[in-house]
Amino acid sequence: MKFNYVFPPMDEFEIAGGLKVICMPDHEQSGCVVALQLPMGRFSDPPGREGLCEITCGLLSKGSEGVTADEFAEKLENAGATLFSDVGEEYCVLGIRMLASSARSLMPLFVEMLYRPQFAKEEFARLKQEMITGLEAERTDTSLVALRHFYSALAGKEHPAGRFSSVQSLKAVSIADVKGFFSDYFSPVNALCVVAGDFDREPLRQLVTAQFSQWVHTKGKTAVIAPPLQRHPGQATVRIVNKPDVTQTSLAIGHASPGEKCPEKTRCFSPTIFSGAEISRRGSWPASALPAAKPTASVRSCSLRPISAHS
Amino acid sequence: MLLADIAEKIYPNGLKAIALKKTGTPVVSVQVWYKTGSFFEERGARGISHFLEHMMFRGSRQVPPEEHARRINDVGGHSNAFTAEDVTAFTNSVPCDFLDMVLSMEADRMDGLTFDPKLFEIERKVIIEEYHTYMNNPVAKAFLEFRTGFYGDHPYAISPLGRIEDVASVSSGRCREYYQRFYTPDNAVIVVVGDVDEAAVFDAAGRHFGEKTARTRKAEYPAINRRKGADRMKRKVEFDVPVLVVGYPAPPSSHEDAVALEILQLVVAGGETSRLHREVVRRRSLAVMAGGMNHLLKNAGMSMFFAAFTPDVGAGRVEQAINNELQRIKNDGITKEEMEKVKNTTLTNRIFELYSADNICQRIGYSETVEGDYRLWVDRLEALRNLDRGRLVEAARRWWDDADKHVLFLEPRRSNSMLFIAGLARRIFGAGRKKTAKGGT
Repeated sequence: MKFNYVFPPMDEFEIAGGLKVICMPDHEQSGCVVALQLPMGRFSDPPGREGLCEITCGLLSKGSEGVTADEFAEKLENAGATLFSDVGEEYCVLGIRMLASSARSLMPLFVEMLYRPQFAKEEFARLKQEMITGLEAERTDTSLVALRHFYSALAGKEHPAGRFSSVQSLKAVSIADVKGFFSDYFSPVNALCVVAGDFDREPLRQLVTAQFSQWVHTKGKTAVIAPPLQRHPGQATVRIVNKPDVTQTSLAIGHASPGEKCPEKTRCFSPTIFSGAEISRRGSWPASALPAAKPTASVRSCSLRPISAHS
Repeated sequence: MLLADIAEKIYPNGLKAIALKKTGTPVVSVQVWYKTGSFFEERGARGISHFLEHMMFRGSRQVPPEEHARRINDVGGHSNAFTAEDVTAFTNSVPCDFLDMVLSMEADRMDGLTFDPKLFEIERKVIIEEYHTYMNNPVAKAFLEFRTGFYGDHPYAISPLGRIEDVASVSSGRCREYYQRFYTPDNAVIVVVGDVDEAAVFDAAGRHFGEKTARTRKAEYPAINRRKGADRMKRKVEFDVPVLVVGYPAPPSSHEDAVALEILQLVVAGGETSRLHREVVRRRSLAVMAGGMNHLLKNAGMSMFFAAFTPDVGAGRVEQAINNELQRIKNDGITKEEMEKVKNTTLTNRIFELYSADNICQRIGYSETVEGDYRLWVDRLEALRNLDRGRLVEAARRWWDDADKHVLFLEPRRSNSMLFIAGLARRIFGAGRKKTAKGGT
């Protein structure tokens, strides 16, 4: 089997403020995507403030010093554009998807939200409420509950992999926390911007350079790369979560595993660098069909009513 | 690539193949769509289409169990399948050198399933678990009940997952009968999109499927005997967030009002500039989130709107707020700006769909098998361009008829004081405050 595919040429350069850029002209269709990777994620959340990174990212499009939240939404949606964000463990990606013909008018808007977000009180309250509601809704998903408990049991609460946002942690986040987090992490110094779209190489380079050249921020924290998970050969932990209102039992079974440490991969794909967890088997069974557990190692059991999916 | 380049061929045995050459990446997406789904299931066999979809991966004459997916994975591709009300589809994506391999395996399982009894029983357990996973979600469960208000005892009232008692008892023989009846060349459409010439596609499809015999026995389609009239349902659920759903019967997906209803959905519920988000979530802070969707099937549909809110807000107020927005459209229509936004959104979505061979395949397959003609997918943009705003008002008045309104209220079984307090605080401190560009609130 042979592939005759040649990956399209990429234009790599660095802008004065320190932002690394990769541009990829792509004429297949008339779209354009800008994706900005920043060195922050779930692991950057301070203990007790889990959810801070997600709140900060969520508030960026909710108004800046120059543009209100409604104006943001209006301008983007009128042009058929979409903002996206993906908060991972160590990195997050913020981006915009649009027609190439809209890039010149919308890229300044995208940059505006990165430069001068407003973090208005009412938007902050609204977003927190939305996230709390989302967490409440997620508690019905037994596989998600199992997965969170799995990570919590495997990593422990001292390790960022074992901590998740909860109603309590979201409520603990203040606007000052958000502003501090923004100031710490939103910097071109450790960021990477990838742009692909229906442009020729030179105009694309000029457009990106013009838009991002004013982004100057000398400091900038690096990503929180969590330490490897401790492995305890021969010792197993069983955690049982009683969730009486469901008809199905979900299991997450796994172990600590080596993580991705290849720097090249980090640049392009934002994998999890810390030594992660390998879930070798995860499935669901009807509650009635689950055989009585006969653990052979340490057992931790928690009976929750109502269930706390994020404890 | 031009959508006008889509080519089709109908073989003597009734099989239809649709091909589109898409260059750029050396991959090809191959999908086989069977025009059968839960709509065609008889009493006692609800869920049989989905069961059969699973068995299609459990071995045929030339392809041992699980081998289909393995062979495709081995060449770097991926395969999957889904069952819906009107169709069952099998999807494959591979490097384009392997088109022939995929078509050969698809042809083998079109009429050569082995129905190994042991594997049939294993698969039954898998499907029962899939059912439990779905029903574990209290909202999904209540929503299924909601569907019965629209479709009565028609198969559309039931999820394609079927009825658990039927899945638990359906025999291998009955499944085989169903298979022989509906998995035939004259009931299938092959869609191929990728870096291959249409001539090569039609040649390969002819070689692998051309000798198969047409033998579909046409089904008697069950009529939908729904009673007209408003309906209210309230269910206590193990879910902390109150949810209100408002729904109306909607036309089939190929109906001339389908485009109008899609546009109206976007205006009312699509994105942060939608009327529900602006008014109900942001300005009045009655809901934490609000949205909507049209669920248009081959023979009928539903047009729905929903809101999730905090327990301090009464369901009545939320319902009234949704009603107000729908009534405004029925009275005054939509603005020029909203029309422009919808056009731009639709166009952008279409452009991004075209980057992916899988997406194009999916769209062509759906339009051909559910809407009756793949050209509808292409023509929709033109229809949208020419749609006048008066038509939208007419469609809104025709389909959002309060005399035929269905309401579902999902009330949390337990009250969640934290949500109550948080909601109240947000409404007191956050609602309706005018923002300025500078200087905050």
